[in-house]
Amino acid sequence: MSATSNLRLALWAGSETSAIVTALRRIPDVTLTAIVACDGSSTNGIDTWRSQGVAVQTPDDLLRTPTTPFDALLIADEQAEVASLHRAVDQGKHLLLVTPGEWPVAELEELRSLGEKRGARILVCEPSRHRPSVQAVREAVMSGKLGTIGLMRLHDWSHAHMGQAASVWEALRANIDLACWLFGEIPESLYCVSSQSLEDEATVGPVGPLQIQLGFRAGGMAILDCYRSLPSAEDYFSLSVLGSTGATYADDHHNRQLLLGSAGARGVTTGEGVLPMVSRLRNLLDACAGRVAALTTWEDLRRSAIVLAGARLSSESSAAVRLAHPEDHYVLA
Amino acid sequence: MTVPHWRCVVLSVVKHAYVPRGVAAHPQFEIVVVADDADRPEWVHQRNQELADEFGVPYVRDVARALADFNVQVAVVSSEAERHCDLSVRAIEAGLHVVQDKPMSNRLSECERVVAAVERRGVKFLMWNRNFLPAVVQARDLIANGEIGEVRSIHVDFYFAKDAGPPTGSRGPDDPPIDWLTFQIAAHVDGSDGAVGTQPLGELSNEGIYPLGYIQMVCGAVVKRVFARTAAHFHQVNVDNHVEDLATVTLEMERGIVGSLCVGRIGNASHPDIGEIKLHVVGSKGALVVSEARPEVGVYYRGQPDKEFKHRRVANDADYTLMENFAQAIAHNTPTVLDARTGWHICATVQAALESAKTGRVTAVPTLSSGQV
Repeated sequence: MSATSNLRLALWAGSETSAIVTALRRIPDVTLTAIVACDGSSTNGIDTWRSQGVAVQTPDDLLRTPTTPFDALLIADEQAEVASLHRAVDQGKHLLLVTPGEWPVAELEELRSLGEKRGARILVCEPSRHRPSVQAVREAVMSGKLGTIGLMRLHDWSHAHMGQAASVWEALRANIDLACWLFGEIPESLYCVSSQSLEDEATVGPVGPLQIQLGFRAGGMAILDCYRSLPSAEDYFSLSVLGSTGATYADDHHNRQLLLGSAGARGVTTGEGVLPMVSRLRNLLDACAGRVAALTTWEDLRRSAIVLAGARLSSESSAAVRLAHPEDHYVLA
Repeated sequence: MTVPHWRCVVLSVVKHAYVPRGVAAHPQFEIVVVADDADRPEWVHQRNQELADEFGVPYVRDVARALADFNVQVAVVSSEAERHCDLSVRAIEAGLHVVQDKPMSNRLSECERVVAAVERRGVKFLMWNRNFLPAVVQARDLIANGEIGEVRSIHVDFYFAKDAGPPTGSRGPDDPPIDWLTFQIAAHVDGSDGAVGTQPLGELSNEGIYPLGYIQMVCGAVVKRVFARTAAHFHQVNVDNHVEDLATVTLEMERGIVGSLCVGRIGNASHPDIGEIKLHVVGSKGALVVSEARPEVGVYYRGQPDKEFKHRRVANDADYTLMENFAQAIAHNTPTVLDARTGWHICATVQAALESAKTGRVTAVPTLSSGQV
């Protein structure tokens, strides 16, 4: 594949398949040639795709007896088997992950090493970085208009998404990535607590509330809290950053409309539509083609994994932890 | 029916006068005299005199005489923070009920003196607070009505968008450090002298009682452990005096509730109004996000001064409601919404947070058991 040629894409379907297909229509130089469907529930409208000439196959069909040509495999299923991913990379296929999911970083690193030998690129996307609201916050921070960043405050609440395996810990990791991205460094100390009882976690899974407090070297601080068991289908996200000369507030609370219905008044969110997914795919595909740098680097992934491990150590020991030397783990403070 | 009526003495009013004015917002409380110790510096006497003139009452430079000669039943204390508790104790020992400005004190031992005196004399004590702002009351009621089930976590942002002199990093190499008291006295002109006193007072120490008061009222849970981080991030006066203007605190409370607190004096440029003040609460059956500023009305016009708030709070009946709570407490011997023991515990939580910020470790909040003082 050259940098300017059309990219043939196979999509391993998952919970975001519908948004991905919608977003792909806006991206030039990409042809969807196959959809990998492990289970019919995640590929609504298969017949529609078949009628458009898109092959619908199982992983084995695609990778063992390749009859459908493709250059890159876009992974939207966080349960995708690592063995299948290895097989794809071994065949020289680029691997594009729309989210890091809960794959261990070490396994992804193995894929990357294999990809280097086979001429395949392995690229991973942190979804939160592509939200228009988050990008506006990041732009404000990077512009220098806010001065030195002193505080980041984030609330991330959602219901338990059907078919989505991500736990509150994965949500925490993703938000830790945001904090590190905005501060440009790994925190030197942290403290993590949960108010979910062990009994409750055994029953409903790890949903939180879970919160973490981060301290950065230059005096900056962050508090993030995550919850994955809201009763309604609407999520809530709020991100504030306070700098020495200004502040920015991205808050779903500000972006609620008022619906006066028969059941009374309620707030409804004006969402960000398909734009976050367009941004994610565009960056993955452009980076795959060598046109731009990937927004999420391997160092980013390693960093958030290290902090998450520190968070688990803190939570389990009910104590603050600090970054050790070398800076690849945390120890009790 | 005879409506009770209480005569009030204001014991020192060296900063903004919102507490005595708030007391006077209730018709059952009448300010009849302002008093202070004779040995106070002249700027203190001047401010006391200004309030006395505003209310058309005498200013007496003798606290004991004011307590004895003016048939007063309530003392309103709004002095420098380091004098709060001592003035309150003197009033309590004279048999008066007390309304005291925040913070309760910068020393926990002083708070203990107040708790002991209140319980020994059987009088009522109210720490001034913002718990009866309409949005906070609504949050309390929604939670009490079970709308979100049992509280599991609570987070409060409390940012005041006020400047406090020159920004961090503005002091030249040969400039002397900014003197705290001199700076605070000068800040009186725009009402940003809430931390006036000889002892520097950081933002968590000075304002922490407001968000912690919300948490106490909404959850009814005592904070057991804290982890905190503080910084002098915005203002040179805080850097020079080694006190925080930004703080984050993790809270671990009774019943397994967790929470957090972000407190900052973030500067005029960082918010169009008084500041972002919000409550985020997660319950077992739902969640709640509340902006403390609501309801408000937007007012914009050509030539509007930069520092004028463009969104004005309306329907704020907090002063009257607070004093009605105090009146009911006196009349029916019920607890006030923020009494001496609760004030002590909030001060203990702040002190533990400051200790945690120094050590980098989780710190237990001391408890004050019944009869301990």
